[in-house]
Amino acid sequence: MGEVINAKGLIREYESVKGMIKKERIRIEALKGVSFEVQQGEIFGLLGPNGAGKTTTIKILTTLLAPTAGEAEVLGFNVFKDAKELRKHINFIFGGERGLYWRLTAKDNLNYFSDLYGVDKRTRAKRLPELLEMVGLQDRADEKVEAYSKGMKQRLQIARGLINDPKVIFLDEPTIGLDPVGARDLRNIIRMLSGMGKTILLTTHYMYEADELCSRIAVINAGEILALDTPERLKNMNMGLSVLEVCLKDIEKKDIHAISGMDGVDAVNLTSSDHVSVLRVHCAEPYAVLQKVMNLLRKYSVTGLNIRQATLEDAYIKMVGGNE
Amino acid sequence: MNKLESIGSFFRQGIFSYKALFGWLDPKVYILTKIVSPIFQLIFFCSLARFAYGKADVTQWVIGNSILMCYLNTVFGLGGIMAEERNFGTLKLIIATPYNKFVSFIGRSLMHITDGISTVLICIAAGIIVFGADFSKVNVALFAADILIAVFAASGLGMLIGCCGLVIRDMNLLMNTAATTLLALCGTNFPVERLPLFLQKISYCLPLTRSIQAAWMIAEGNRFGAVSQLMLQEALLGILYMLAGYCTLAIMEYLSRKKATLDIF
Repeated sequence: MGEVINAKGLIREYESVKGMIKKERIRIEALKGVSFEVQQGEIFGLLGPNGAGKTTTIKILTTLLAPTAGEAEVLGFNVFKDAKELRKHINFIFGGERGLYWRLTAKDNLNYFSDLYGVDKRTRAKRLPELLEMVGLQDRADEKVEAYSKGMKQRLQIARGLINDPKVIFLDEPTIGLDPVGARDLRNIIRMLSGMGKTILLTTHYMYEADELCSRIAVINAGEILALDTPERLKNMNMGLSVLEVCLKDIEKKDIHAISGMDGVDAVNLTSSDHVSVLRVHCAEPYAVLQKVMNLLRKYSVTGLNIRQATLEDAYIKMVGGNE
Repeated sequence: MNKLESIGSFFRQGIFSYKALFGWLDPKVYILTKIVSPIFQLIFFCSLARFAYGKADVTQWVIGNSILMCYLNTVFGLGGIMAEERNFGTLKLIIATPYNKFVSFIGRSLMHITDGISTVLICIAAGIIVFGADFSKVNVALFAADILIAVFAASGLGMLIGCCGLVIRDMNLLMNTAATTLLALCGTNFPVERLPLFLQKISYCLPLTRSIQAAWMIAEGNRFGAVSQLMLQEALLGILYMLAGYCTLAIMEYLSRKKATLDIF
């Protein structure tokens, strides 16, 4: 199998301006030297939280953004210098409802993009019905997209992304905002595409999705790749570890630091939503640290306690550090 | 794709883009934006001219303001294409296709040129009905050619503005500035020769100034020989604006990739 995507030391900085009169330029480093390769026919996952650099990486690889430093090649074409040639062979799909013309029908959307990709009449006559059938929209192809549900729009995006029969497909959080059935249907389509020999680079922040679909996963956070391996090996990184989960309303940072410093504690992270925070204590022997942790948390309102085996999601959360 | 298919694709793209991006296709919006509003603008300026100059015959202002009204399509329609694409989230998809973006842009301008001409004709009809504008001496073919050239030249300006949409978020600022500049400096409502010298120079760098002058002359019964220079200069100006648009698009596409502006809102 040949190498289809090759990213070497990708760095991307964004600049923004703060203040109206006394302007201050702020530089944000979205990618800090990202390197990876993707083999032909592989489903490669970029997994990371919001702001990790996943979309920036995809934008660079799809010729939409120039890297500040570093180089990337897709199908042997430099993504910046050979953009025009490369664009014929790739396509991308971004999650969400945008990226379609809502006032046009599904068929018109596909015809429009066929024109932009220079798909000839004969090929189009064969490909359009096939794509519409593949994404299950053949019966509603003549309806305007504005009448479609979110899942239908997302499926149409997939059809649009295949209009030029690309060798490499970039999928940026394709199941975001979909209901479980819609997300499952989309994952089936992705598997089908892989079966057709397409190379797929998928970004997601859903661990199970990456686990289910990808042959290899790169965990990315704050512009850096933290781990790159098969889902199985990433899971094994946490083998033998347990997680002590404590649900509580709030917790001070100093107490989190105190818990991380305890003997036998491997890592601690906190995920918070509007009403509840979940403190996860990764450790080899949970019953050995349970007493000490609960003593420290006595001053808080603890609403739940659970001890379980560590999963792939825990390995991921441990790497990216939760939202604490 | 063979040549015949490519030509078909070129025209189809213009129609798809127009259908996809412009709410004007809704009859209510079209009537209000492209018929009612221009007619009232025409009535305002013609009434003002009748009052200010004390003339009963306002044919000159009917012609000038009718031609000027093509800016709705040429400046706001074409100028806003990139901004509209960005709103739909399709700008990056278009940029990432291998199709020549400038050719695509020209294809998209065709519907706006056609629609712009229809607006001019609607306004002229309104001018004849409301103000009794006199077109008895007009050579219809020459007048039609002049309108076509006027809308083409103004489309050049619109395309130049539109290209900036790849890196500029607030396109309304640019489009409104262009529209008010045309309104003030094209000689439609205020004679160009009475403007300060530097503004006169700007006037002649703008589309519509020459074609409006030519239209006035045609309305007075002049033939091609008398207006040919003005019409050719206007056509040349339109081509220059298009070429400037071509270069600007290439630069803006490069900058948009460097500065990450395709997704800014």
